[in-house]
Amino acid sequence: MPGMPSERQGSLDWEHTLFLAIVAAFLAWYLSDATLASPTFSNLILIAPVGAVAVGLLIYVAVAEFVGGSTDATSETSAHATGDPSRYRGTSFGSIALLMLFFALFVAVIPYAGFDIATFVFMVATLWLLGERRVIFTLTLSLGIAAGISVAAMTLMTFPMPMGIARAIWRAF
Amino acid sequence: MIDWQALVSALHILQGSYSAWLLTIPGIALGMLGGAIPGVSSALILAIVLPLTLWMSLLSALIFMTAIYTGAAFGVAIPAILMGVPGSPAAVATSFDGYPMTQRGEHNLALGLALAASTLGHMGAYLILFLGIGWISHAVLKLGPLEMLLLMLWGLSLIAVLRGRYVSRSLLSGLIGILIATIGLSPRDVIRGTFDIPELLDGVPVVSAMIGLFAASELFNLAGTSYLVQRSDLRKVNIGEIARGMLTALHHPIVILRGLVIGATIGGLPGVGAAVCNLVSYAETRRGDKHPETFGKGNPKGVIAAEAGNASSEAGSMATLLALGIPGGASSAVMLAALSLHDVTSGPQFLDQSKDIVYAIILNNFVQGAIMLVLGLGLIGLMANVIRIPVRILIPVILVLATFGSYSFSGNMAGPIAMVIFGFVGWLMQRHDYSVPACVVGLILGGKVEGALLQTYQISGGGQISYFLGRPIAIVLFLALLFSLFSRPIMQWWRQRRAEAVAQDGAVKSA
Repeated sequence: MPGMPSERQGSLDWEHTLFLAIVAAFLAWYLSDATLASPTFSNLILIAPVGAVAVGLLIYVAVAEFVGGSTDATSETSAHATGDPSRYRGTSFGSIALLMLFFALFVAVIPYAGFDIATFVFMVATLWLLGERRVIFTLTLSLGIAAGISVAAMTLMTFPMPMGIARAIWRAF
Repeated sequence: MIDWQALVSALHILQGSYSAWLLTIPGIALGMLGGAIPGVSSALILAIVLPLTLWMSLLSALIFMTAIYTGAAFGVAIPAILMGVPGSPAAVATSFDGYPMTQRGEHNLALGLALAASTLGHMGAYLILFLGIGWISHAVLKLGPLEMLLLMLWGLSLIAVLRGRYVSRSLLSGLIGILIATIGLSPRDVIRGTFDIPELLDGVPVVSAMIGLFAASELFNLAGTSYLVQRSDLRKVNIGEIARGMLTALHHPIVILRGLVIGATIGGLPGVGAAVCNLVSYAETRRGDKHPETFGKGNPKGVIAAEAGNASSEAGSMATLLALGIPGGASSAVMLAALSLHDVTSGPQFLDQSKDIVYAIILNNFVQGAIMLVLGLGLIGLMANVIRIPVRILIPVILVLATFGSYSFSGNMAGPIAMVIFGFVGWLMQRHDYSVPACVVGLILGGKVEGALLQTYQISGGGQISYFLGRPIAIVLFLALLFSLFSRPIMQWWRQRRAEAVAQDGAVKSA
């Protein structure tokens, strides 16, 4: 079920397999990059042992996944560690994917559109995506947050933040 | 070792320093409000107000800055409890039990616990500082990289505790966190894993990555739900419940005492910081508890331990700052800059010649604790209303504020970009039972552990065992670490064996 950690008895969990592949790729790339950068003991004093154990654990998890179910599952589960799966029920995978996309786009356009404009557009789009349909409320809240962020950035920050039109408006007043 | 003459002089100074007292309340309020914004650290707030201190007397400037520091130490706990978003690494462990309590509708209780633990931890640690500032600074000088390494390993051992359903996956998460923390320019000036991106030379922005792993991933999962607390009857702000939480914290004096001793001592070590105090205090309370399995599911003792450890670290860092002139972290480094703006060089000479000023700061901090209690009660009464805001409004607002905080922390787009990437990674980790907190612990401590490990290796002449054997504090710390890690499993194994032997004896006799 989308949005829920799946039980993996008998059938291969492709999403988890993809995740393991990403972890494996990261380990392979980072361990080789660190070694190529300087294969000295002092450079690898922590990376080599930690990397070796991580690779061992990755192989163990992968074998458990492919052979059928991890063997080290415990009943002593911390809610914070796993995320209580019941919390994700009813969460649409499409909504999550779109929210992630909107967030990534928001961050990507900040250097070009500025914090002010990017914040306003992101707020409007995300509020609409999550089901807010009151137009006046949406526009007012988005404008308020964008203005608040812009004023804080221009008055409090010791370094410049990318801005679209807020700085010009600020100077005009 | 109290210098009574200096103490009387300090009381006279405080009596005549109205401006210092007037600055205490806005300082605490500013710290609390700033700390409650994810990514906005106490160091950033202090840096913003640093130019203002030019127009203040030395005492007023130091009191204003410690007030901000005090307020921020508690402020970071508010989003950690209400939304599972630690305002800074110093509140990571607070979110472990605070957020599950909020999800159960016990947010009032959790906030009360945090406020009381934070206040008592702060005041208790300053009492330790008052009684033994000379001894603390002397002890800190005795600690080298080996001792720091052992303390950090103590914090790192939390990875084994923060396991989810699969031990192997949680350990893997922690190790990946450690490896990510080593990306960038190494202590030996080797560039690793940067893709030639200049912003990564300083490493992955830890605060932004932490916010992404915790906050963004959690907010993604909340899309589609209506409120943080599902039951409407539990979505109430109840001052009586907050007060009950504060009283509940008083029922756990050992937890608070353990936290404040850990915070006051470890907090004094340069480069270790409040995050380690927060984690070690939490880990030790969990290990020492009869029901460790209840931690991470909303155990009030988890919140108390984490907050007592975090709040008390300020006193420790002030001890090394004032007595040795060594900043313990970014916040005390800004305070050091404030001292230099007033042509004052802190260190043994300052402690010797201006003990009255030092005592005045300590005494004012006792009062700061009381003020924080009142201001904090008002602030959390307001902030707790967050749970009454629909999630559809909360998600974009928090994401925007966190992005702003990330940018302000890193000073460039590396922060927000790291937040997006780690938000996605954290969401994937949660879906497949990989422990996000374990990864964050690795991320926070990995770089520090590598630095201390390398320094120890070099100082010890290539890992000579005689170096270790010649450092009694390190041996004590090492034995304490081993005891902390293995005493409970060994006792459990021994009790189990005894029970089996008794059962076998009974079976033989009955046969």
